[in-house]
Amino acid sequence: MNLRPYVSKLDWQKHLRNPRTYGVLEILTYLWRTGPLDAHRKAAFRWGLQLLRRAYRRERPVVWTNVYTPPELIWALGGLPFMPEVAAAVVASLGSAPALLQAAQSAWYSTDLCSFHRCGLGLALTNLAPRPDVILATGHLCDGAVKFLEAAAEVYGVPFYVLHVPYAGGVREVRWLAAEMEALSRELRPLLGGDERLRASVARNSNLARRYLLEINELRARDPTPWSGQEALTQVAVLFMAPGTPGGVQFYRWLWRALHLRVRLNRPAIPRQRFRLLWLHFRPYYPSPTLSWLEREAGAVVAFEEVHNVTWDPLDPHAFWSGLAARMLGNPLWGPARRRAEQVLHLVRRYRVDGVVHFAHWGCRQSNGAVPLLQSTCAGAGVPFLNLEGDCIDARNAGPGQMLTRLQAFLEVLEGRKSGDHGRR
Amino acid sequence: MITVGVDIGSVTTKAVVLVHGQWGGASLLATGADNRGSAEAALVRALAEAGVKREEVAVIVATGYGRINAPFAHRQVTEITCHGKGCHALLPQTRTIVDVGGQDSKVIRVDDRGRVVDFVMNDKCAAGTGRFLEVMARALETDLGGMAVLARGARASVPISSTCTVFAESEVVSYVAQGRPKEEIIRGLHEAIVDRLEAMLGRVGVEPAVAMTGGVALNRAIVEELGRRLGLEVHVPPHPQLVGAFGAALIACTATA
Repeated sequence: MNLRPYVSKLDWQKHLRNPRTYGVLEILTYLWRTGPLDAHRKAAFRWGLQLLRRAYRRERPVVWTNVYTPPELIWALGGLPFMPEVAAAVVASLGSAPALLQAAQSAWYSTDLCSFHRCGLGLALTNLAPRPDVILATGHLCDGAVKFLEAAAEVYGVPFYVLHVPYAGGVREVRWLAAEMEALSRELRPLLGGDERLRASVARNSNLARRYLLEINELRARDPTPWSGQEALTQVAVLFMAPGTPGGVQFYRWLWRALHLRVRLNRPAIPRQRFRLLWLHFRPYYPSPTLSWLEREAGAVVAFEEVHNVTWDPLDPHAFWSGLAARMLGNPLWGPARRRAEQVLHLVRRYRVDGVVHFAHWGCRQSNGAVPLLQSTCAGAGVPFLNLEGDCIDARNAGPGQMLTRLQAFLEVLEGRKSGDHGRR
Repeated sequence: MITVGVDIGSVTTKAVVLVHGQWGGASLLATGADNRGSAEAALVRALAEAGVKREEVAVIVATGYGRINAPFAHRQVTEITCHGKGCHALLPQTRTIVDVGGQDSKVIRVDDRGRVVDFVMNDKCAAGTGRFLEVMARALETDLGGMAVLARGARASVPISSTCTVFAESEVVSYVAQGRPKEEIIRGLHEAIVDRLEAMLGRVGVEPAVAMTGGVALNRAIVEELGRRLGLEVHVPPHPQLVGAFGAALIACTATA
């Protein structure tokens, strides 16, 4: 469903803040006819609308947080999670990021900083996003996220909390982080109201979604792959916010059914799959031909992307906080870069990819800092590696022609390897 | 079989005609604002030089940043692959190619068959490209040929600290105002370009023999400075600015229309 032409014609800022907008859009989704192959898209869209409607209506206290904070934490605390970085991607996809980036820039937010954060701060400065009751940042992965969320807390004048996450994770660190979360839940209970029953329900929903996600990842190892990277990197919003809710379970159940059916009916995501790629980090979310050209025209399907890699165990409701702590500490993007490189190598083998593309998002220190090690690890394994420089949100930081030339040249390298004797798979 | 390679670059458009795999003719003209028109003109001129009629051409391959603006082409291949193929055909011992064009620079590693093994391109700004030299030549009121001569004759160099072309131009203007010798400023500019190329070479690794292609390869000062840094001779094929178009024409020989 392409909403872009309609959004540009509306006084969208006024309507964006009105919960009724999301109610009306939700009703309209009943007119959206889907079959079993794409019902998950409607499920994701509807879930997103419901979340926004609830947040703007302030049905529950709204907790702003950064991506990679397990959403189960916020749901279990009793809040509604709102991730400005996810909102930035949605806004960018509607072509509306430039005004928000400009707002952040006018408020001393340098263009050298991550555009997810600049756009997120723009949402706060223009008062477009659901107003937070609490802002909670987690210190793993990205220091820039902590700083911009602190700036947002200043804008709104709301309490700001930081979960300090140790760099490397062992039993002692898990215990330490779990205790920190437990103390936070006690402190926030009067405001958010989370309790043991809620934690049990969140754990149950999270584990169900995880089980479906594991099945989905298994199906994606098939050749041809049933899911496109372009869609997977769009639906990452669900992964960041929905697990722990019935909506999250429903989405992954529908997605599993769709992919299962596609495999059974031999209806792959992309009809002609010449190459399989592993995608690291995110993609451009503003209107850009990059991914569709890569997958649909050049036939290089993104077989898997590291963000969907399930590296965590099921949650035990009786050890809820330590389960979440272990998950955060076990994130391959956090801690030593060597751990991420090993996971990349594991995914290369599991998904039998021909090459690896790291999307080097402008200003992203946490991901780009690992590139030398990722490159040398892939080179050591004989896997071609492309560091594709660009920007996920700010279109001004990336020329589409430059990106397409790099991608096309990379595919020509892969083609040369396939036509020669040294191709692998 | 007659094949043609057309390389539509940001500054110049080139075409090379091959008749049964042998050099037939070539053309080189300024790209200007009309990519499509320049591509067509380059094709027509190269065919005229080769004495070949258009209907006799079996396959045309377009390359360069404007490759999508050649509707007559049967295939589009990136300049990375074309420079690899073309340079390897001219200098078969080449394993590392440094191509510096008008708006970007690349380092390409090829195998013993001229197939690209790895490559790296400059980042988004124009520093370290032909455009950088053009802007600086204008600021110093000289031409590209004159810059190379002056750089080779300089006894010292003025360090250029800015990596951005616009800021570097301001820096150059300041040095001129300070009365620094023009040849030393120019030498500093050449070294700034080679700094960038050296970093790119470090990324993909240097395997001899090293060759340089693209319009900037005509600048002996850059070629010599790069060779001095690498401790290797940097080879330059004949007509280095035509190598991409030549490679495209070679690829056309193996392609079907």
